[in-house]
Amino acid sequence: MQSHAAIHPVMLSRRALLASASGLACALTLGRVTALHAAAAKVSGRAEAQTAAALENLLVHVYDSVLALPRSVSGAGSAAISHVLSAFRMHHAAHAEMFNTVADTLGGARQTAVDGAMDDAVVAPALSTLRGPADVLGLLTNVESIVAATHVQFSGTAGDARALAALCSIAPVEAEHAALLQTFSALLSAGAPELVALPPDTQALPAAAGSAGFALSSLPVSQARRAGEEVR
Amino acid sequence: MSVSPHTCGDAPTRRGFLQGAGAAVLGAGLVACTTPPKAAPTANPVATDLRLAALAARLELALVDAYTTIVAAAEPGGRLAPAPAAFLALARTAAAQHADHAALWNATLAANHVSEENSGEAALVAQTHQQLGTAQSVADVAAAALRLEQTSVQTYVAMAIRFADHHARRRAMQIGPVEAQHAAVLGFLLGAEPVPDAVVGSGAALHLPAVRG
Repeated sequence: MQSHAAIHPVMLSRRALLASASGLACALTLGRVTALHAAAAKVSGRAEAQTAAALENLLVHVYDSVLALPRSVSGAGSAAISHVLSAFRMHHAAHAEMFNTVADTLGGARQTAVDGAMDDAVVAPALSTLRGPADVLGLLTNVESIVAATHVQFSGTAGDARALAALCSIAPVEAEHAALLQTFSALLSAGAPELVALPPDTQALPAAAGSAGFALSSLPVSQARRAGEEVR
Repeated sequence: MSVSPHTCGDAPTRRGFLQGAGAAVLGAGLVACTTPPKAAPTANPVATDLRLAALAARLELALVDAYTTIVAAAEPGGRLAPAPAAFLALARTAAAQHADHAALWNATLAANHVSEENSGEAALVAQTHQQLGTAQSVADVAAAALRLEQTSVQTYVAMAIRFADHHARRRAMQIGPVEAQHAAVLGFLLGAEPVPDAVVGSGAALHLPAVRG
């Protein structure tokens, strides 16, 4: 479990503190800060929305690639794994459309390609090494976790309310995907593939199935991708 | 302990498929519906953020209280024992993580010279005690925990877009998805669709306007 030290207690930002100050000098300063921030906020979120859309396209690509593998490799011979692969793929297609709608609204460009930077660094090398369901679940968990971290990181930089709303409502879903995939991985690791089922035989599940999906108290963001990285 | 309000089959259900197909439209609507109201010109953003942080701390303390009650009822010798090992592991881990979350929010309050929160959000605690007190099975308490986690996730989503401070917002978004993970695994254990929707809404969120500055 992540220690408390992972996220330090934060003082509220300097800008926020300045905004609460009184007096003429502070009011003048506050006026300048507010005006500058308002100008920046007109486009803040566009880059984040575009990169998020490209990352969602990449997730759709990953799920499509996995679903195209022999069932013995993808794990799709399991009804539960087959179900989540298809359901999560549809979620990501919907997410891509949402982020593209936001990018459109903010004057950006719709993203129809995958995020090439992350594909090159993370996905393509792993796709070529998949040998069985455990590998597949490991790759998908990793990619979902990275994209969740990216949406969380972007929620701290996107100024536009529409971009922010999309990021905040989608990031938890990626985290849920990762948790369930990790739970299935734990069952495979325990040598109990027959327990990967929907609904499961709850009485037979090992304790690890109840906690493997959330090893950390706070979602780490160290693996978050960089806004604008999809531009080549 | 399975209860199956949305039991899964071999393939995505028709309902699930429709949810997926409609998610883009839903998503577009969500972006519009969850756009945070503009703060009144006289609102103090620091005061508002601190009220949100205090609410988050009370929310987490309510979850700690609920899981403490659940573990007592489900562990060996408890009123509803025996419970599946996976459920007990979830409840114990979730209790510890919610305690971590409460400590993080209280640390933020303390760093800003505001009194720490010591008890859970009263309405939520009362509602949870009523549900847990009448529970007749481990599945009942698991379902109550799932509702609580869903309330928490949706509260974080609604709250995050209202934080003026970017660090506080990011913290909310590092915590909210962990609540979502608890909910997904609870859904799995209950035999429900573990990740039923493409987006998290805010319809079940705690009422936030009262925290406006």
